[in-house]
Amino acid sequence: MRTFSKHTPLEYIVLYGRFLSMIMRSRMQYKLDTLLTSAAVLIRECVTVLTLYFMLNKFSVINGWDLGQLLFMYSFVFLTYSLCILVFTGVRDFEWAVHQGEFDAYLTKPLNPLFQVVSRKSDVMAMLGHGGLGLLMFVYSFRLAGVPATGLNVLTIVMVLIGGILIQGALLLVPASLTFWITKSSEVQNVLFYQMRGFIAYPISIYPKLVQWLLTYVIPLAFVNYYPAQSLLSRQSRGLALLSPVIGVVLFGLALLLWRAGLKRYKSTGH
Amino acid sequence: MRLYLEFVRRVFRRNAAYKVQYFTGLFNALLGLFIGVAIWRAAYGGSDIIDGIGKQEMVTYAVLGVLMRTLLTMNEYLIDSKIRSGEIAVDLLKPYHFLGYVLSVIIGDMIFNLWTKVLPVLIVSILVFHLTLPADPTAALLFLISLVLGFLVLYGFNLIFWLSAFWFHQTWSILTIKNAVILLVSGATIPLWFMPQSLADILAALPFKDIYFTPLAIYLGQVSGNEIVKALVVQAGWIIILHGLAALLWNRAQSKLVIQGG
Repeated sequence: MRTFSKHTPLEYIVLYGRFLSMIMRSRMQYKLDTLLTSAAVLIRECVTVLTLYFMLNKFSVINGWDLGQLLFMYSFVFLTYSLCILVFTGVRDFEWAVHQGEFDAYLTKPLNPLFQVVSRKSDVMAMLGHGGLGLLMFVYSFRLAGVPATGLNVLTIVMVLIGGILIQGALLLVPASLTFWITKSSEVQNVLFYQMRGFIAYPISIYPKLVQWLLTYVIPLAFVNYYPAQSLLSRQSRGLALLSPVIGVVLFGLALLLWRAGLKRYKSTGH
Repeated sequence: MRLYLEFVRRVFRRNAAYKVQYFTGLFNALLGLFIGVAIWRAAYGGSDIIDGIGKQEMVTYAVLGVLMRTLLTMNEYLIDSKIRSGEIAVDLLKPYHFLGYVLSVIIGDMIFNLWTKVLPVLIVSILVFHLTLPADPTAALLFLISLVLGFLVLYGFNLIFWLSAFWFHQTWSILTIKNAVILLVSGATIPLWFMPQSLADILAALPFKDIYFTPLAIYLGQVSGNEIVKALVVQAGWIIILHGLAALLWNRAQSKLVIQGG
């Protein structure tokens, strides 16, 4: 939104930092509640991981993947979601903000509306729960999976994490933008994002070709963990892992276009 | 009794009003089914039988596990919201038993789940996944009895945790942890026979397995003869213990009732 760009990027970054520290401080007023909720999230997410652990205890290899490799691959799902939700909580809860009229208040302020949506909220508990579990799994499986700790690998992992955050951020931004057209966009989000994420707990090679194609080309969640892990485990070329950030940027760009189109429409209908 | 049946009917109709939610719920069940089947098939790989459990039997286990979970999805925050809003004070004055009302709502939810989600998905999965059917009508009947007992075990557990809302001002964390534990150790996602031996031995002595694992094991004919009777008696025993605890808690709760400003 050109009309909102009265501020420099640096100002936006400083402002974002201030908002985030405010959110953290207000959340830390309820230390016990925050901790308990984060722990609950972590334990809830543990179920699929422990089920997988028990299965591997019995079967040792699934579709050519052993325990270390599977946990390594799965850890990216939690790590990226943790960072994604740290940034995009407001996008996740956008339908609610519109229905409550909160978004209309954003529009009266001299700041980019999407910036406000993003910066005003952060689900600290989800971030801690998913992040804690992701870190535990990553640390546990890194050696087990035999990924060498070279500089190149570290760099690749950082790029993959950024790609994963952008891909998931885009998949949250699309249903959020649809709120400008439809009333129940949260159900679209539920199906498009949360239910689809169920697939990437396991290597996508266990699913029929159609599902693999869907997760690669339509809802490219396979680039959050499956392809990067393939590449980091030297099963496929390194280039594949570096495709994640590229796809992330492209997808997020497309989601941004949809957002802008929706915002224009929203304002033109008398708001 | 007619009053409670009316509650059940209304809950069913209220559920039916939310069409979009219904379809996403249906989609969720199908997806869970699909993923569950895929991972077990992949785990079996080329082998047809592992530890005496056939691949097809395990697929059946996974499918029925997801369907049971869909069936037994309950409104976890019914009591919590009543306490939070203070409505509970009025509810207690009404000429019916509050816990009877809660049970009616839960049964209404379950009949809705059964009729609109479980049955259609079951028919589809019998055709698509070629589910193993029970050996004979007796096995099917025993499974259904065990399933009802499994529901009562879960309901007893849930009631205890739901009533904790009388003491805690936030129950989301407790309920979430409770559900995670049940999901993991009740056999809903992985049968006890595939768990590490030491853990399986501990779980055999606890009531969790009686929610999902016992009915499913009976269905697949992994429990036989006198063992079935024993399993059903154990389920009934846990129901008595859990519901006894819940009743005790309910008595305490009524005298403890704290409502904002009262």
